[in-house]
Amino acid sequence: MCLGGSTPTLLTHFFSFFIYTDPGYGTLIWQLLLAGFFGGAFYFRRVKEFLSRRKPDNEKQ
Amino acid sequence: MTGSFRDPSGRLFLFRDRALRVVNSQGAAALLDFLATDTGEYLTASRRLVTTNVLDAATDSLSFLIPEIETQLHSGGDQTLLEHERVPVQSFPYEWPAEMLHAAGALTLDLADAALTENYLLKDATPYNVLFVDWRPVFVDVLSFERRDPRDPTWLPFNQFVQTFLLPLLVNKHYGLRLDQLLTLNRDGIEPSQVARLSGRLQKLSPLFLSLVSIPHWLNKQQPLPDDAVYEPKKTGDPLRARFILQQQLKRLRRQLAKVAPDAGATSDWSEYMTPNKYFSLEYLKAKESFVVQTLTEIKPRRVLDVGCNTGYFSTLVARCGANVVAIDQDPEVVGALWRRAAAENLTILPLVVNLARPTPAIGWRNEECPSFLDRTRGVFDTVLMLAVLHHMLVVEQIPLEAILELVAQLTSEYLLIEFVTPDDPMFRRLVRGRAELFAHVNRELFESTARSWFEIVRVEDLLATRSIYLMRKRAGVSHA
Repeated sequence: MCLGGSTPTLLTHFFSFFIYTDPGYGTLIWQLLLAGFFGGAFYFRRVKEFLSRRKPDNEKQ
Repeated sequence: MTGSFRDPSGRLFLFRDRALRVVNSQGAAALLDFLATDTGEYLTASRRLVTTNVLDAATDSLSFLIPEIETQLHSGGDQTLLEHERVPVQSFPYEWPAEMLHAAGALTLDLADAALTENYLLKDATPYNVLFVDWRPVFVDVLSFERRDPRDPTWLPFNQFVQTFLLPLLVNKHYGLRLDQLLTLNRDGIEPSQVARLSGRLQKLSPLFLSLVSIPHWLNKQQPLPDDAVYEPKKTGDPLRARFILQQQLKRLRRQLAKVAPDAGATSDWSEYMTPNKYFSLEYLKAKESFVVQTLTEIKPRRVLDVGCNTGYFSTLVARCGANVVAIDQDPEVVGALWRRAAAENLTILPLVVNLARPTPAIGWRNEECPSFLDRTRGVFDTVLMLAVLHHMLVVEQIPLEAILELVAQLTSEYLLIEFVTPDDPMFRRLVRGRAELFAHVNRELFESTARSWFEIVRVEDLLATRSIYLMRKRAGVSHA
């Protein structure tokens, strides 16, 4: 069972499937801000992994 | 027949003991593809996801018998007819103690995580997607699974999960607000702005409140971005990054769910009711237990309703004798404690916060979306237990004896195990509080003669001078109507 959405026509324009749950406003922006933070963490982790892989190679030399 | 109507991908129909769903081609394709994945098969096999079978609408006779289903099948485009395992007793979030709402939230996050591995996501996150089979939560809204865009890092039901799971549990934990009252009135849960009005200044700055309440509330007030900028999809160039973000969001929600979990040791005035005290002794309790066990061995019930179950002392006995039990009590703390026990010991008990004197009504659109407790349970039980609860309904709720027994005769198809307490009992006198004249006429003879309108007395035992326990059988010809 599902909840009805408040602005289905607005959301239909942007998405390929019908969205009918209310994404909120303040909570959605907060989620997007957190997504930006986690996105940065993703690249930070990649750099860290890259550097830790390089370090053993440098030590061998 | 009842059904759902909000999901544009399909409609659910509940007819007698069958749960049927008519799904459009887009919804059916996504659903069946997901169910065929390793994750879909695992979730179904582990009983966390309701079973789903495809029916042949051309040959299934039921679809022709039900006009609404036939209409839906011919409503345009290819429609697929599915059948799901029917959950024996439907319950709704406003009948759950906090422990069960928490378990439903944990299941929702588990499924969202699992779906992500197959590049699917849940398109909604409401407690109404979950039912309970005994103590175990089962996800039933299979149309919630949909394919995701691999570059999209946003989970749109995030807000719905916060408002319908996290915030109700937060206010229940921190302010003692009852979930049954909150969720009966608020189908969509509660908003950060409503919680912000309840919170103190320092509390608003605590990490949990800051994230769930203060920041979203502030952003809502400030409206920093226009709507089209907010709702425009934010795709990343890297699918791995998008998936990482979603995984972290779900982890974060899981940590928040853990922080709003109800306290394991929460108690109420009723938590010690079954402990021998000045009103009744251990010998009385043991004598009652012996009568109940002997009766269960004799009648071998399959589906039992335990009214006024308290902490589930007798529900547990019944479950251990092999029956499925629906255990109801008006106190959320004792029902929550019973759920914890049922989950820990895998008992076949579904505990619900329901007061039989004011059972949950039919609510929703046209009072049809969520049927009343009495409608959902009509014809389900072969045995009803009413142990040390009749006098509470007589005195506290002031329901006439005849009306109580008439209702019970509708709830059971066969047996009634009931304890009668006379007005001179110490607990009865405690409840009466100076209104003794109102109940002076109540005695054992009146009780037995009233009961005989619907039941025959099979056996009776005097537990105390003031308390007797009866096994009764419903008279032939007495209906459920």
